[in-house]
Amino acid sequence: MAVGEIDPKIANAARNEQLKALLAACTLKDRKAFAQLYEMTSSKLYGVILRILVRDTWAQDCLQEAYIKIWNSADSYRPYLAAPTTWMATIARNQALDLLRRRRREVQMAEPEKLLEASDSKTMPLERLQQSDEGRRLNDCLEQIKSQQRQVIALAYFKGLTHEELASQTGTPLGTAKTWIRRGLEQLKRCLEP
Amino acid sequence: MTQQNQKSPAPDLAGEYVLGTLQGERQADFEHRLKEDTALQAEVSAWEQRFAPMLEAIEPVKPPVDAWRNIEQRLDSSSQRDKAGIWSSLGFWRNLGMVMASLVMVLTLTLFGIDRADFEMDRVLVVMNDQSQAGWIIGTAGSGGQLHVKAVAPTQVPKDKVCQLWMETNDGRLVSVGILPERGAERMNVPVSLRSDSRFKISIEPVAELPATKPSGEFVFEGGLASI
Repeated sequence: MAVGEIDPKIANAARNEQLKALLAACTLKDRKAFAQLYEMTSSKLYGVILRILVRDTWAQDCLQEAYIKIWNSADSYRPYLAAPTTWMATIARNQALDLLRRRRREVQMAEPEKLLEASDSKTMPLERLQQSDEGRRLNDCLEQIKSQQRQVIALAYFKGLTHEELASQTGTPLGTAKTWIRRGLEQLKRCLEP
Repeated sequence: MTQQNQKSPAPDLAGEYVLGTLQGERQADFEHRLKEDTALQAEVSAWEQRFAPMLEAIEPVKPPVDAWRNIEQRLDSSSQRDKAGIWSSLGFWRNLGMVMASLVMVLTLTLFGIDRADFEMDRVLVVMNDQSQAGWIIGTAGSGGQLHVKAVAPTQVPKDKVCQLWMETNDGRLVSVGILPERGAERMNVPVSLRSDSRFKISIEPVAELPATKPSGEFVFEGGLASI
């Protein structure tokens, strides 16, 4: 590494420490800290939400919900369990999936054929997994499991599909879809073991 | 439950929960267990970590500028506190509150219809408001390091003030625990180890400049947890 260049791992660790401190300040209702937290993380979270919801009007509402949730539940963040960005991205993903499931129920009742308009081929951004060590490991493990299992896992993770929806989406019996999920998770867990 | 497929492995509930395929009653049951089960919390967290690179790999997108303004507006409207009139009776709150806290605890639990089984606390503290009624209920369950704080009838403080909760350590040092909620229930992490005789104190502080080591003024309430 050239002199003067910052090791990305060190930079990332420093950023995580800063985010932890900002989250701690948010538990004391420090609005300035919250503004800084937003500044540092909103593009990341908006990317996650947009990936799941696709439509930007939904995504904008969802981003607000996610940050209100982060503000209100900052005190339930456990630094020893998760990196701050993981914790926040998880909140963003959950908010987006909740909204998507709600909308899907509405659409399902009105226009059943439009149920899965957004289950596109880009569901899993595997190509970009190559950018970090953890990502490369996950990618290697995903490549080891059967493609149908990988597909149902991706649809569940990014589109919030239930077992029933996964079965109908992939044209398989419910029991098979459930088994794919179970096997896929089991193999991933084993493969990712340290 | 009948086994759908003999060769299918048993479901990894934490994994399915994180993936999102645990739905309905199974999800509700799991979330109920998750509240108190720290081993299960760790399993969920481990699954979140396993999948985290998928979220990390997503390209960031700058949100529209309106988004932050809207968030700020929502925070402003939810922190409206403008009933400064009652503020003047703070002294009254202080004097009566301290004496009456433990006396009315059982009565309060009954009056406010708080079901003990539902609340699942084994030690509680009733924090009196400025009307010497139950303002908040603070409870702990088992050996968990968390306080469950439920707003019942919180003291109305001016818009720029909040009620800050403190805890006294073994050696008499004060540590800030958090801000008492205006409504609803919250969980707070206890920064030091919780003992059965832990003392809690409350001060009124400016929201813009919360003190970290000692209150800026006098305590308006103090009390300890009582077993129920």
